[in-house]
Amino acid sequence: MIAREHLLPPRLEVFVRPCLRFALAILLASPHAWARPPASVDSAWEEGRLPAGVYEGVPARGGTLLVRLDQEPPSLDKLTDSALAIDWMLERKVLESMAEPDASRHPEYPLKPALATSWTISPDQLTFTFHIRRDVLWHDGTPFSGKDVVATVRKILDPSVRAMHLRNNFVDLADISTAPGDDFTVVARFSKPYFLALRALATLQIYPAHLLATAGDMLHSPIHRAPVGTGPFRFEEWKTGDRISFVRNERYWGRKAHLDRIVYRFVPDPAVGFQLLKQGQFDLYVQLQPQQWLRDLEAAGLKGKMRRIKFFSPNYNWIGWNEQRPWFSDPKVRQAMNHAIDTEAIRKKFLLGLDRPTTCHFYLDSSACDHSLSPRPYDPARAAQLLDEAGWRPQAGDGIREKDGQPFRFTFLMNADSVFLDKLTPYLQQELRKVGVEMEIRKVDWAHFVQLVEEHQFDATSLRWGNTDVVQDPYEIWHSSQTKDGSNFVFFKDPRADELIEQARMTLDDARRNELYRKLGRLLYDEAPYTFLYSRPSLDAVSSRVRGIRPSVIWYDLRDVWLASR
Amino acid sequence: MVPTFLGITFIAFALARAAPGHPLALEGDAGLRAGGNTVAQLREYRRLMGLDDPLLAGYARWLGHVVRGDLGDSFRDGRPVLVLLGEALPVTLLLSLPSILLGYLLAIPIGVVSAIRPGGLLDRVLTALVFVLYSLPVQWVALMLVLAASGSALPIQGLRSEGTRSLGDLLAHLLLPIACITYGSLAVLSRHLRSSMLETMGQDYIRTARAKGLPETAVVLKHALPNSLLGMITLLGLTFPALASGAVIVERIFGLPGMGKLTFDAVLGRDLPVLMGSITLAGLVTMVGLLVSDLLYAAADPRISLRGNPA
Repeated sequence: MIAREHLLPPRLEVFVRPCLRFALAILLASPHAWARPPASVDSAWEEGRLPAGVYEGVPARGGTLLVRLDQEPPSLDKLTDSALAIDWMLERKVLESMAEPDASRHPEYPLKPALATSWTISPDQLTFTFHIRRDVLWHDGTPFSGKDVVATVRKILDPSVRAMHLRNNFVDLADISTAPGDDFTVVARFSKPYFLALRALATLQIYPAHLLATAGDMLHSPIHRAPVGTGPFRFEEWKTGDRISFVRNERYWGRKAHLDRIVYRFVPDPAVGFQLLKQGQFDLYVQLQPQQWLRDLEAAGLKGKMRRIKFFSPNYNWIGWNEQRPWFSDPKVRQAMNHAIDTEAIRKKFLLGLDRPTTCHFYLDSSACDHSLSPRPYDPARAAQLLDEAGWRPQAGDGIREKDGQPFRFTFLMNADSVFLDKLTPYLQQELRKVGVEMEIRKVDWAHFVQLVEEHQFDATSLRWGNTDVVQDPYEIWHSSQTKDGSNFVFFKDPRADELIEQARMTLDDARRNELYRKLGRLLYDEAPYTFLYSRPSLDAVSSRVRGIRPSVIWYDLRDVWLASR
Repeated sequence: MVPTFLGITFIAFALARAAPGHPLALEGDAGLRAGGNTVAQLREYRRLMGLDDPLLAGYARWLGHVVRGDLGDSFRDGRPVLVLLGEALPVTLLLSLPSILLGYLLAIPIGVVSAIRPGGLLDRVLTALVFVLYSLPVQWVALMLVLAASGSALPIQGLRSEGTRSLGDLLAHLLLPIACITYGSLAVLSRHLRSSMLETMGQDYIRTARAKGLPETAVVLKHALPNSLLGMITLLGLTFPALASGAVIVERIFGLPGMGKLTFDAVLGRDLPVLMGSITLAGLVTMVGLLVSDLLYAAADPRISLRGNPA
């Protein structure tokens, strides 16, 4: 009968298919495909780099850029929601900040002026003074001033607004206001020196004060779904479940955008999305599946029509070992876990070799990483030796290790939606069994998973950290105080790490701070609270008619993009 | 009906509240963003959303709002649940109404033809066909249809093409999803009709009809079929929930923002108000469906009276 479909457990329906396809991808892949292709005329295609020709020629005005996204965001409100798609659609396109990361200077991304023409830092590094542009209009025609900056920060600090994700940055903000008699100078005073204070404030996307005044908790305000900004594009329409579109702001203060319009279409199913791509319905296709990126594009004859983009934004996968559990309190055991897992084989087999191995908490291209630390090699004998040294001795009979009568038998908690962990965990189970460790697997849905992880209710688990800026503070993840309400899920407590992290927070000089972070990195490497795995690339494709597009950690800057006539 | 409604909604409310997990906005991939959600932040979120109130108090407050026609606001995007339902329900009805109609229109002839010569070639072919269809997983069929259609002009995504409001465009968008929702229902409906036809064909009055020399078509269509359709009314009542609850897979693959997607996202994101709204709607529609099928019984079968037994 008609209701038949509903009888299936819903999770299976949605997620079985990608898993199947992924498995199929592995089955079909021929061994020679793993090998790195020879450097050829096609190296740009192979490596997912955009050729220099993309930036040549005179920009032409006009046209609509069609973008595929896989997820519809809950709102278009940066104050209440932290979905990545909101950042992509709004930042520097619709909303603007006083300063912005300079995308042309990878991988440092220093600040460059945007709504502020310049800023000064007081000698005690506690007071920041921003000089604001006077020629800026909001999309509704209202003039922009420093009062908008102040109102945005005040809104974030309002406890009735769901802006917890932004409020953290302003914990030590003592006061922010416009200078007396001058609405175009904003003065912010902090009570403690903090290296991220300037960057967080300067890159905060500014909302219009005159609309914030009546926006209440934001959730019921028109600007929750129809943002009003100062940027080169303004909001046009949101067709729920289908698309969101933006049009060029003709009254933009800076160089006006080339594109007439940007349309983001939401196509959740990857197979359907790919068919639409084949039909030529997208100029920019975000998040292809590895198999699609690596093979299907070429197989579908899209090589001349599309260009591949492979780009690493700050993110990494890790396996975390809960140090409160008896098995993982000893760093030797955690190191043994590293040696017991053949991360290189996993990368090649399950990830088609596209991800990059990392041992670092920070952006892998950044100088905050000590690039001399390479992943611990796969070495079961060394793993067994380390386990012996830690007092875990194999027992006669089943061969499972024991210490003080406690068998080495733990549970790996995973998010049931993860295709990667579905592959990884059975492999892990098998490898650990070889060194006398028994692992069980527990799968729960995402919302439940997050709760369990945050309450430290796991023995071992795996997650990915992601960030939209290269500059980040490891405090929340590695400081011992963050085992309580922060994100130090694995209970890593080390006074040396605490000191490095605290010192770095007060170090505004980038080079000196990165030196501290490299020390922290070596400590984390030795203590091995995580098994660091890989950084996952963004695998996108862009039509060959799209010019001036540049991938960066702050996503694509569509201000500079134009469409070449074919 | 009121106690049934209270029962449905209270059980749903208690289950939704008891489900472990945080009400989080759905993240695109299974990664957390540093600085995204700390335990303290989630605690504050729960407080803002009223999730820390006792269960009964929470339910009473929800019920109080419902009685006044207010289903609350979504945790996820802050919009009123009524607005969300108002957006999703028409999409679902566009799929489910034609699908139910089509299912019956196709299944009745199949059932009748099968019952005329049970065990005959036609019966066996049709039986095999509907069971093959029944056993095809919908996600596979939907993807095959997408692949087959992607070379043609037939749209495979969304409800309308951009910039057009024509009925033809809408129908073209609906064709594949409706086919996906309908094909599986044929087996149940046609087999049900077949067996009830066979039962009817063995009755004395059919033999009488044949004995008085009526042509076989008249026997089947005038005497056997109407009497066999009673059971189909029960099935109709049971298909009512599907009318409003949507189809998760089909909606996802074809990018249709219907009730299935709305409810599924609400479950994953622990969006209590939306979840309760869609359960309430499905509950109401089901109750109405059962009422309608009871009334249809009374209309169709003179032996059944709603006034009670006069004896």
